[in-house]
Amino acid sequence: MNLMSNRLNVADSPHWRDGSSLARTHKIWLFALVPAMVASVWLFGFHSLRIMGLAVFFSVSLDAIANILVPSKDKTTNWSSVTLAILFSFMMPCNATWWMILVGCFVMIIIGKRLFGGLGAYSVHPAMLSYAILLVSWPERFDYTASLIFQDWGVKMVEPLRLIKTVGGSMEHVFHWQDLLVGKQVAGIGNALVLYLLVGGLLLLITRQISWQIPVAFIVGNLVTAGIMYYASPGQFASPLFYLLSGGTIFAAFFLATEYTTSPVNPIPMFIFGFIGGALLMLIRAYSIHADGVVFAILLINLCNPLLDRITPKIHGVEVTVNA
Amino acid sequence: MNFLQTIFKPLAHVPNHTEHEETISSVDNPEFVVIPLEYPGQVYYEPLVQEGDVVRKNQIIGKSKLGNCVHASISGVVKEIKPVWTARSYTVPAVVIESNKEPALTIDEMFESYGVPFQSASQVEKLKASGVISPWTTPGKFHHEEKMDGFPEVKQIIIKGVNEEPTVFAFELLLQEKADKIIQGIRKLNNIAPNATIWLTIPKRLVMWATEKFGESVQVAAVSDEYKHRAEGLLVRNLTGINIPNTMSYRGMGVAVLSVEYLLAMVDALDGKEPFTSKYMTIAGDCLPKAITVKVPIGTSIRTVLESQGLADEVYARLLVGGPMKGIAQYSDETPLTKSAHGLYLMLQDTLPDEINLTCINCGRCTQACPINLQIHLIGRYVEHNLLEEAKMFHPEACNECGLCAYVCPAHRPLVQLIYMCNHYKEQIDEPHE
Repeated sequence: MNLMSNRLNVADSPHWRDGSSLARTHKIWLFALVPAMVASVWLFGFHSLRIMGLAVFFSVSLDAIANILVPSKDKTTNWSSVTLAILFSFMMPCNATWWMILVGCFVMIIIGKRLFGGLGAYSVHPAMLSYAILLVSWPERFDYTASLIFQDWGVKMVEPLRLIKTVGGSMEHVFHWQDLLVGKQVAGIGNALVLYLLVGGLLLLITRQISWQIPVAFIVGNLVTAGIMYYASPGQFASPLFYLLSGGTIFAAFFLATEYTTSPVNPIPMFIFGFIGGALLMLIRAYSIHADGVVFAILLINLCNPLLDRITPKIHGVEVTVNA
Repeated sequence: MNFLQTIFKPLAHVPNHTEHEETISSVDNPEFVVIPLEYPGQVYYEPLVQEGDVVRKNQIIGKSKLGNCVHASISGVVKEIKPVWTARSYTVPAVVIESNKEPALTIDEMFESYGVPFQSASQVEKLKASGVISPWTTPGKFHHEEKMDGFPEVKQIIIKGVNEEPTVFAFELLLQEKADKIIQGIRKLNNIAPNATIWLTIPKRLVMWATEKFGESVQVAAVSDEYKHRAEGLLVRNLTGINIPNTMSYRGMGVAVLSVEYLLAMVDALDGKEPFTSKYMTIAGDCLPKAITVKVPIGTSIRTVLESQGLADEVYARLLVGGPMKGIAQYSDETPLTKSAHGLYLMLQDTLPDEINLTCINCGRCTQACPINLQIHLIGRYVEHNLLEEAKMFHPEACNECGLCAYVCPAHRPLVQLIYMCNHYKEQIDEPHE
């Protein structure tokens, strides 16, 4: 037999792929964030554009530079740094300065992502890590209420969770749930646009980018914990629905807790992961000095991930079993 | 609300290729055939002919230790016996026969050369002499012939009327075209294994017709069009209720799995019509509007088969024996087609997936797509970093190599190959392949 037909292409099976790729996945994530981005620009105007633009510019440039200095399989062209930048910028107050964004992007891309080994290797969400570092380094610059002091959207211009924390659950009636739902509440430039984030989250679910277990469990965990607290001391805490609609609960449930690398992959661990996240978020809101504890709740559950993923489903075909 | 339900549906939907010709055409006898004498891991034949011998169609040209036979699929002259590369990526000795258009051997002459006259041969002898490698003549996959002794009686028989691959229709067409002969075959199976429960798997769209046709003689099991539900290991588990590890043979647990094609060959063998010298296969591909199912003599080269269907070799860029999910890419179209090849799949240059291998992002789609719940994301990363012992804690040996993990992987990782490497790496160092 001669080897004349060496023009044939040879590769491993399977020879069909479902058409997904890292770039495509991250583009879908970005697309899911578009409703919230548009709403953010509509509400916050130029500041929103400025922060998102700077964040994307800094993180993509840093990612590209890092890739030139230390080449890795985590190419800049996989769009992950863009998605991370948008997630990071959503948490920023609208008066964030350029150097805060630069420091944030440096921590996120270089320390949070690259130093751990790139996409897929980090143990905590890079955007959350950088936000946490900024928050503890310059706490006075993360006062959402102060950032929006000259704005008036026809609602009480105070961060809802901060008001509940300092005054008590009775202040709940100051805010209308419709206003909270459409994002007319004092917060970062994107993390409290509940309705638009829900639309994006649904898009992620329908395109099967994320599984339903984590967001559902996160929301359930949050509601259950808030419900217990509300039942125990109604004067101190607001109703569960209020906690769901204010701050970054929905943002965390759909976009932060579901980050692939830092979340479990098996159904039961995903459910536990989400539930712990929701419960922790509520506990942090109730008993810590931070008004909205999304960032710390996410960082803490990220650390539980390797342990939770030890709960694995039964493998078929390891030992002989006969069903009756 | 349909689109909301997609959230809860299982991941990994392999599109179904349903356009196919409803009839089976046959390929003319080729100029030459190359008949392999070994099926590694299954059966090894000793050649009974030498270079220069004149052989006739149906003549026994090789015999194994247990008396299983391989036949000349055309009449002609034995040109040489030499090692060839087979579709399953083994180099094995093979007999090359050049056609001389002589008539075929009759069945009585064939049995005479086997040593037992047809009338006095037992059923198993008839199967062996006719080259039907059924569960009654060999122990089953991955097990050598010599280990035949001590296998339990067959209690459950699954006849595959559905091929796993989404582009292979040979079994389904045989079901429809030779339904009466299949019923005969089922009766014969009842004679061979009187206490066995027999299932016939059929595609879901034929369920009404099949229940009417086969319902009396056999238990009809409808199989969905999802590739995920078609894997052989899963079918065996779901139908028999016995969970057989991938490392064990079904036969060892009293389960026999055979295809419709083999059932038909068994009927011919037991009736003394003809030995197993030709096989049915489906040719599909992006360059074909409809998949074609053809009957070809065993040992025909892929090129001959494709040329007979008017497919010049410039058309396709990748040639698979099997289907797109489990098929093996061939580097040459001169590879002979053996009994284990049920399909050919041709891919165009622009439909080839890009072969990039990025790092795992732990999205877990592989693990969610896995029909047997393997922790593929962990196994893959352990093997990549050469931690084979750690990887083995997650039981990679249970893998059926269905390919769904790699199918859904957004990082395009060669997950099947990583698992395969974990299962076979050490073995190959310890005992090189014979």
